[in-house]
Amino acid sequence: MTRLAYVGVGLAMLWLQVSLAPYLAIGGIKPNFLLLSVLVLQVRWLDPWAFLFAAVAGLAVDTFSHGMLGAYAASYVATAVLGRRLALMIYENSRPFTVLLVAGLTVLEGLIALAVLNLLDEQVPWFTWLFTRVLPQAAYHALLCPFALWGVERLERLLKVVPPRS
Amino acid sequence: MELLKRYRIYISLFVVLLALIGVLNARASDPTRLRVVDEVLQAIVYPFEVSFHKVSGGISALFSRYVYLVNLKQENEQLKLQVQALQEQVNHDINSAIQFDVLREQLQFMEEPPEGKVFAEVIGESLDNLHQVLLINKGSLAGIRRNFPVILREGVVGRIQSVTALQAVVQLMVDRRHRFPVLVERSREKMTGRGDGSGIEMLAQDRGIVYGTGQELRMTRIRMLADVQPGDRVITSGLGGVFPKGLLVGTVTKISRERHELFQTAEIRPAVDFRKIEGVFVVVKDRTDGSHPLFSGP
Repeated sequence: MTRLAYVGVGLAMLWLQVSLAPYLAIGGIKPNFLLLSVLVLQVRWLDPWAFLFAAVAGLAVDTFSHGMLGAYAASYVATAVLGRRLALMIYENSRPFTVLLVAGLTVLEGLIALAVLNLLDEQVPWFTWLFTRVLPQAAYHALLCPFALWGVERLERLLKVVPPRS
Repeated sequence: MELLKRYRIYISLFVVLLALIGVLNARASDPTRLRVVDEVLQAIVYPFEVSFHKVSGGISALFSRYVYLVNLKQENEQLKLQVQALQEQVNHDINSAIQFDVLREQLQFMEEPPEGKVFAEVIGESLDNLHQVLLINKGSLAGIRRNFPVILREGVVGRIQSVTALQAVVQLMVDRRHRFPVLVERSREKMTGRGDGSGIEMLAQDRGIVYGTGQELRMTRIRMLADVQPGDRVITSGLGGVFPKGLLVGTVTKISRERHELFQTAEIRPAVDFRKIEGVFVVVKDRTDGSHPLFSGP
């Protein structure tokens, strides 16, 4: 049932990202609903299927951004793996901790993505993008994380999923 | 006397009628005569007229303000609804008028060279914050191929980054990965105007490479002696094999010259406002892939 939930959440987040995210841009920074859902689901459920979800979400973002398939997919999967390790080591089932973890993982994903894009010869302006794109997006995700958690909790009740660390 | 007394009413009536006929006859022959009679009559009637007007006005107001108020609230609500509907209609009409102007301009532009333009609507934008791309609702079925130029009446928008059957991704020219050769319109025209055809001057056309910075454009590789000034218009040179020659790219806003460097750098404000793009034209010349040049140089 959770696998179907990944499909549903993925499609819903893709639709939100295409239709709603441009209107939520603050200073040119859009929230990334796909990444947010990947991180929140991984931290909450610690499910190996989340890696596949991360890869597919990353491919979708690749398709509708720079067009080089695999760059964001790799960074999303790497972040999901690190997020799972971090959650297994230090996870505390509280909202503030989850918000902090999601914000930190967003920064991590941004750094990995910049590294991958740099490898692909995009001449990435590291510090400029880190301070003007990655960190503001992490702050944005921290603001949206409570809403995402609320949605995931509703989904857990609906699907009768018991998070492993609850 | 007895007879006069008996028929006094009829006699009075007859006299009055005679007097009226006399007055009518007098006014008919000369309208200015007997004005005194008018003035006297008006002076007598005026107080009655005023008092009647006030009383009748008061009664009328009483009815209109209090008695007829029974349906006023309902009528007011109906009128509010009508005003709202009319306001919506006005807004719709204004929007339609703006859209009509935009579409008329686009239609006129459609008929201008270069030929073979396909109009596509913008249906999305980049999912990430690092790249500047647009998603359009026309793809390979409309003849669009990778690297085809995307333009607007105002100037260059970008190029086709990837294409599927029904949609395509446009890489905007302000995207950091975008680089293309350009030349400065004014200095080119000046050189053509001289007409001396000296080889050195012709080779020294003010060219450069424009690349996106994410927000705007920067032109590099401009030779140090080039005559480039703020306000100069920058156009495509046609040498890159993607854009036809002569499309407006933007306007120079700032020049940076360092004595120790070989080239100057210019900041360029794009001619197109990328935040307001709703539709674009894709220049479709043939069905070859964009790896081959679509247009010759000059």
